Amino acid sequence: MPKVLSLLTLLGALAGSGQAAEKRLLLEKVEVTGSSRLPSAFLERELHLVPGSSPSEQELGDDRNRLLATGLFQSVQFFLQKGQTPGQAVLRIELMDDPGVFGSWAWGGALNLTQDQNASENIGGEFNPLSARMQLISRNLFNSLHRASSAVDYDGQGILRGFHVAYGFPRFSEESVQFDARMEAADAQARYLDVLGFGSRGQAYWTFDQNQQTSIQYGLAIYVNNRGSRYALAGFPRALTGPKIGIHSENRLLGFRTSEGYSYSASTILTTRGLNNMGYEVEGAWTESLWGRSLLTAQVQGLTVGWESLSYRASLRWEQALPILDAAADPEIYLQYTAGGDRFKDLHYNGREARLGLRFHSAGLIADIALSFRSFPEKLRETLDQELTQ
Amino acid sequence: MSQYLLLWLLLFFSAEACAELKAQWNQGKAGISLRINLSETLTEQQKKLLYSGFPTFSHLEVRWLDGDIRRSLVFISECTVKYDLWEEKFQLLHFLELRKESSLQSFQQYQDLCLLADIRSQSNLIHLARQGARLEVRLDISQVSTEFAQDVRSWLIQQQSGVMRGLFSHMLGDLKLSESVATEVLAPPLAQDQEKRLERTDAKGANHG
Repeated sequence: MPKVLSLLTLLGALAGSGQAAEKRLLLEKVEVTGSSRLPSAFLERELHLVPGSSPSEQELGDDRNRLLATGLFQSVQFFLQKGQTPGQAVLRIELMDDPGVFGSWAWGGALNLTQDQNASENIGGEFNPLSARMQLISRNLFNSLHRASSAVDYDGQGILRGFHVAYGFPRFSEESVQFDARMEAADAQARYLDVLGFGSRGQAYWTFDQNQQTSIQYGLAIYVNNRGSRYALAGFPRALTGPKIGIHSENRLLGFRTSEGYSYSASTILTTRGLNNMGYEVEGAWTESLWGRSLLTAQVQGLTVGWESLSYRASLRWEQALPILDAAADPEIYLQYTAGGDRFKDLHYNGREARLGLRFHSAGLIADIALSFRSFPEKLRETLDQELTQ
Repeated sequence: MSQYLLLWLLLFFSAEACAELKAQWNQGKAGISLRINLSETLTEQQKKLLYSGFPTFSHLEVRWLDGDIRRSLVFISECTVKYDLWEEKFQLLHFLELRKESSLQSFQQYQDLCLLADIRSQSNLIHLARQGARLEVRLDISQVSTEFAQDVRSWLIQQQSGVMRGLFSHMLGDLKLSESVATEVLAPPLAQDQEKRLERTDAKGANHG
């Protein structure tokens, strides 16, 4: 008997909570203040918050959380007031823009100036040692959450040594899936460590979230070595093209200062020419806080095509925040050591770089000034010259 | 005239300073405790959130301060209230770890329950009674629970797919999920006779234990 009573009580409580969750408001008016990054019409379309609608409290809470998760706002607060018509409510949404980006399209930019000291004479001799890399991003193109990023990397003579362009569909309505595309190239002679097996890469894929950290990715990848051109890694296959599938897991927030945690990913590029011609990529990173506001990040990347070729890069980076300016400017110094190598049949390259830099972030702009000591594979130039004359 | 104005300003700001947060020893039926009441420090934005009509989380914590270093927790309290727009009264939804739905009679009742740090831990009290201490008092009022704040972070992390990496280094660093007030307060040492009483209570407690 007591069991039956407690079951009835439990059922009653569940029914009661169901009623409470279903309690709905009738909206007389919706006001949005504090930001112009998302126009009211867009919010109405995406969140369905229009006069006359009757969302539940739970739905309004979800809407607030979705706005927070756009990354455009530092703060999102919802307020209810009694409307002029009895039984109706006015919803006021107070937004505060994230000051890490500027303008209604949420722009951000970065400028890196690097003074190079090349140890490899036959490569470094002709280059002006000062190089500049500029990046521009937008998190909210057309005020509708389209994402894009582009960067160019010039040396002191004005020669383009690398670039990338990337684009991502808006991620707002469908929260568990996103689509991104990216094209990039790097000069293997001058930016050896920026190249992993192939000088030029294009890829576009969908990312499906499996849980809070892990996602499955699939799409198309085109990795190319343009023989005879600067965007080539000599000896490696000319092209690797095919569907790409992979797994990616990350629990670090990659802000100006990366949070503690780890990431790993593994993927394969499928071809119809057998396992020996498929591409396999792995990447892992780990970030740990040390004393004060000091961070240590270790990262490794590897790519193989079949079993005969291997390209790998590994880096260790130490960052220390400097308490010399206010928090808005966020200055820090860093020291990074990167080493990498490539093997393909009888070819074998090695390169390394030590970099000391100062960087700070203010009003959407990142400035990075660095001194770099590089040693790049001398055999790379000879091989490229040979290929060019053949 | 300007001297009188200066004097008035000085008196005004001194009065403001006097109205700052205080830690006071209190002798109640349950024994001696150290009380810090945060009702007076509530900002307009925090009050606005409490009257927003949505569930609002209050998180109050007190920590030792040693120089500029924050040390162990002395007191923590969490509660969730919701202002009912139509009934015009507060509902208590959670208090500490307990789900405890009940109506609050007044805003004062909310303040007494959620904005009062009543430090009763004997080990902390004995240390405070002997030497006094500098304490950091922090009050966070938010529409987003601590658990959900973690979910927001995870969701933002998922947007950093490999292809678009680099895009996010400009943002997502400082979400402001709560309206916060952090204040330092000086807890005075306890008068000697009361301190002895407190030590006796502690010894009794130890014997009983």
